[in-house]
Amino acid sequence: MMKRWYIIAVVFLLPITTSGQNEYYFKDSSFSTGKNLIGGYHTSELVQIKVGDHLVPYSPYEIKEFGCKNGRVYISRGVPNGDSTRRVFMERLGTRGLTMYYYKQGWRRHFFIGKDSTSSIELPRHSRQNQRFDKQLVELMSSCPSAANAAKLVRYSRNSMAKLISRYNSCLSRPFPYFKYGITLGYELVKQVPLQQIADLNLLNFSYEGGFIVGIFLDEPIRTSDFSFHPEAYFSQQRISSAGVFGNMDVDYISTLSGIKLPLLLRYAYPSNKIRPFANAGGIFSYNVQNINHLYESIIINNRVNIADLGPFPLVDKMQFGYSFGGGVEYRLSYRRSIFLEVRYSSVSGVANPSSMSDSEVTFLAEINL
Amino acid sequence: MRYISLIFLIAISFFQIGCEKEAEVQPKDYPFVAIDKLDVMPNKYVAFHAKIAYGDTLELFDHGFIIYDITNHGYIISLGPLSKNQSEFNDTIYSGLVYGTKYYLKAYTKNAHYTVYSNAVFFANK
Repeated sequence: MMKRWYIIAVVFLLPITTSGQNEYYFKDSSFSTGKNLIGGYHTSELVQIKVGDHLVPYSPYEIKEFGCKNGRVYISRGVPNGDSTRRVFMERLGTRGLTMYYYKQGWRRHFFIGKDSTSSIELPRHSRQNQRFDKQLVELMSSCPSAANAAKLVRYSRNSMAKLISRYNSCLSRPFPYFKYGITLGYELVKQVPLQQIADLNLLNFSYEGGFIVGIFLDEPIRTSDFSFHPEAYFSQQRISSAGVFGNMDVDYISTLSGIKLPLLLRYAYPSNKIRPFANAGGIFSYNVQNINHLYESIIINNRVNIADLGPFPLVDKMQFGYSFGGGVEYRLSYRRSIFLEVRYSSVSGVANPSSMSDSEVTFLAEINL
Repeated sequence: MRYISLIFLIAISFFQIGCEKEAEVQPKDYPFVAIDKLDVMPNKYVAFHAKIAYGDTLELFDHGFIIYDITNHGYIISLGPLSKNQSEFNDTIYSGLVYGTKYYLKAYTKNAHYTVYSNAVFFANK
């Protein structure tokens, strides 16, 4: 009888409470809902419930189910504990079709999968037959090919599993967010912006000069969303030569820069299937391993030329920092592999000496994940 | 295989950095010359390297260097004609420098119209 009331309450009251962002809990045979019912801190072994002005801790033996303001639902369920069982609060991932239950004990994560809470089975990282969890998920989700492909990319984490279950239940064919790494190749156009303090430099016209770049990238989805943290490390080399004639004086500036650049970007990729437009922005750090700059002044009097080197001096800082933004498209070759084409603008200036020469850069990038 | 290709890529990149040629001055109608490297081993030798940027067709009938001491007393060492296609030269001085003395060195080039003196590089023979 009590179980029937519990089921009726879940079916009729749950949609109301969750859509209203209210919190709720089931305790014994009673159901309570309202705002600020559940304390901010809860684990697999306790939940704090507001009673009057106090927060009272309850165990999974006392509370059957509770729902938080953020829409997350936790259910009390028995898990094997040696020869007996013990109850823990598990978060329910997915509301219709296949459901996953998750709890964390210390650093260890536990997932259970099934059609409902009673028939679900544990999905360990490696089964007793040494089968990985993703292989088991691929088999379970074979009825939906896009979800089965996504299962090959899923991580043993709450957010990744929640995303996968939601994809399977709706059988949506969309790119699944996963960790990527690969090779970066490109062509970089660099224009140096001269120092105001050195008069000779201001006489020269600086134009964009090109050089090839090669490096690696990482792409880590943020909370399994379409946003990702996208750091890169690439080697770039630039040879800049600028000259000007001013009466009987020639001015020549040459700069050889080669080093490593580290853009640290936040990327958003639109979740379309074959071609995904993306945009990214963030900071960029440059370390110039080779940093040779000369500014020559040649005075011509009566066919005698006297050359003076106003350098070498640190016209360009060894370490530079700035901002970077760009956009492009990701062309998906398979569920796992993509090619990324991008145009990016960056501007960097000296870290130790902010008044040193700054660079403005336009970079054409091609990336492929391995 | 993925890791091997990544390591290969990084190795190539480092190699590229090591092999990077320096930027060069745009060619002139006079034989522009600049000393870009100096190696001093006190009381043993002084070696230098100079670059030339020259776009004219006139022959270079002389090149060499001038070495001055602190009192501005100098002497010229001529290395003779130079092919107009040559973009660099170097030389090493093994004798004639007094230990403990400061010097400066300039390279020079000559064609039919111009005599060009390079930037000065300073060193102490001690």
